[in-house]
Amino acid sequence: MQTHAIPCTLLATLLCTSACYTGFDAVVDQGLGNDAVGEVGDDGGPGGDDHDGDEGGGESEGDDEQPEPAEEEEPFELPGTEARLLPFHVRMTNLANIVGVDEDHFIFDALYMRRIQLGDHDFSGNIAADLVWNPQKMGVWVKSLEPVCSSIQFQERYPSISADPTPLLQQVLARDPDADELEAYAAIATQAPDTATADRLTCYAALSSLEFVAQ
Amino acid sequence: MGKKPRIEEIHPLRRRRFMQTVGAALGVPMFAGGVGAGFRFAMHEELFGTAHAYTQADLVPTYFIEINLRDQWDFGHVFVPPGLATETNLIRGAEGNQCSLFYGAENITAAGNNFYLTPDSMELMPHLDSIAVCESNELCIGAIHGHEAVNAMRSPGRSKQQSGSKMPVWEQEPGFGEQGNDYFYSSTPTPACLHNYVQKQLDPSLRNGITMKFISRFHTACHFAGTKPEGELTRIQSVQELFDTFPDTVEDLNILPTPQEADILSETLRRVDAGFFQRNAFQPAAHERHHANLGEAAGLWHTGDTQVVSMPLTEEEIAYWSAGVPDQVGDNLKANIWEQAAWAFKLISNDVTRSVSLEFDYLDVHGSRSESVMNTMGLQAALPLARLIESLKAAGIYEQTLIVLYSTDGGRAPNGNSYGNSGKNTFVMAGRNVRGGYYGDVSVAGNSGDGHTYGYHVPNDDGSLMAPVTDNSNRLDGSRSWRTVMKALEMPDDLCDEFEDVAGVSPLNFMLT
Repeated sequence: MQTHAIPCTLLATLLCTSACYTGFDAVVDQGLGNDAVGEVGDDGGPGGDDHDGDEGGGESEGDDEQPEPAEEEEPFELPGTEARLLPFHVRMTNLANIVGVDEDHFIFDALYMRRIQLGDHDFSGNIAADLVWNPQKMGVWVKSLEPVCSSIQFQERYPSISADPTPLLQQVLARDPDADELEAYAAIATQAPDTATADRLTCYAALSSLEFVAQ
Repeated sequence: MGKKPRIEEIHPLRRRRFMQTVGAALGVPMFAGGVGAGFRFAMHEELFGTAHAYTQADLVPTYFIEINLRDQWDFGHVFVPPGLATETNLIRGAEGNQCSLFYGAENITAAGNNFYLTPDSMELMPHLDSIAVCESNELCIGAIHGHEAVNAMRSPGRSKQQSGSKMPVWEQEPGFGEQGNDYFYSSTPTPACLHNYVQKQLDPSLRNGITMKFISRFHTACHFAGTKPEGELTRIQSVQELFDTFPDTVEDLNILPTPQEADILSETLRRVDAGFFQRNAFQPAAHERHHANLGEAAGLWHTGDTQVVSMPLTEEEIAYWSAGVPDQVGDNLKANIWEQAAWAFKLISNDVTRSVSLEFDYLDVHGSRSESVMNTMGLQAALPLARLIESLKAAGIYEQTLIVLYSTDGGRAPNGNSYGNSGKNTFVMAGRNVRGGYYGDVSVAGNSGDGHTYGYHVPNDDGSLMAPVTDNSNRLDGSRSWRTVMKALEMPDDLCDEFEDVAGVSPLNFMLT
């Protein structure tokens, strides 16, 4: 059994300086879109309410800066209960290496356009990285791979991949594929209605496999 | 050999729409109440086969909108507690122990069933017969004066200690940090996750439920599916991500041109990824979860859908939903609550998904809670709720829908200077199976300093009031409100009883029809 003891009193004392807003000091623009509320705010302003600072002095400012939590500890390490994605930029670097083009090549535009859906962060937009490899990301990832798999660059580098996926898999896996893997990829060719479809599905599968996208 | 279910006569690509139609028909009160469960069971048996009849009959198609309000939301200008509304010597004000109710008796409307509305909440008047409010719930326990991202009402039994079947609740939340959220462990799924799980069991081709993570600060609301990981909601962190998740072109709904291709890709990944889990010593649950995810992904790679919903709001929609609703007040504004309500309605009314969670905040105010704070929160809560109800009624699906609002990290005491670890902790239900009324009460217990001490009257099992307490004692256990929400949604009792902290607990029946 693992537990996480939170030093409640210490934490509250340290963190309340920015976690709480008091009625003191500076006024924050509320952007109230309502006349009635604006008028109400005149009796001392919309202020008197949503300002920064702690109860004892209100010295902190109205930003989302967080103090360094003292002695904060992660509750525990994930014991392998779920596969997690590599950070988005790592996936993109690896993908560019596989295809043999620069990371800013236009065949990756769809991926960059959907980078937030694919788990990238955008701190300026208050968006954190989301590395859960869930069905939604699988859907968006495969959709965004279409320009990559259909690109001349990819097809010239990996011709006829459904007939011989080994060169692609060696790059994707950074090792030789084992017999089970080769058998699984070979099954695509037998099930797909035509070679073009088999090639496309082989590309999607290789570039969506956990060996390639996950940590 | 059993009789072949009629559902198998329908092409798989058309089953979803058919099941939606059947589900809607069997879910309406005319059938549910007038004809009874026996008829519904028989219909399900005929359509779906004996093996699935119990499940199908038990899992009623419903819609659920969970609205999570932070930071320590006060509904004081939406639903005025009767004891305060009728108090003749109330000392009003923003400071200390003054009461942060800024409307006088002349502006408070007695609306029946213990409802007292203010001008901020009058738009709710036509809908009060299906709105139930209880603020006498177990208080929040976060380290910073109660702030937390769970709430005992949403995940009863949540604890800071991991023990038994309790699991971390924060793992799916992007960028989760301890400050103002706290690390909790639990075994009870949060409502929208469990609802999402059930509805996807009923219709596997349903789009996954979502939560719009539009709180302005580093605070969040944890959603937790526990032992039902298929119920995990899709976390949406920006408006653009919402639009991208629900594209408005048919092509985007069918990434692969045929279901056969989707199945080939899914099966291939199942086979090749199996080795990944073995090589990296993952627990079996990780592999099982991935296996299930790939099955769901196959449905996304080719949905078979031809209906799209345009998520960006039209000028007409903006005018309707935004009228009179103050903008979000916070550090890093993400989306207004009226926008979230409008998007939720679009998704629900088009049956794109059935479980939608909203996350919204008014940044944490202490020391002095002025009239503008209370008015803003009142309007932000009341107007979107009223318009959701009105729109759902107009769409003919209000009877199938439950809306629940939570003061997710605790509510407030009436005191002008109030923190969220005392006083009220609120949930509001509207819609399916809800018996309208304000249950419990808050009253003036005496005078103290510049204002009052306040008494909290918890409802008995029949809805009558217990003697008041002036401290944090004697609140309703979070499991009571959780079971109440589940019963309103007609979630199967045996499913709810799977979770140890809510097993066998009685709902607050006085809030239900």
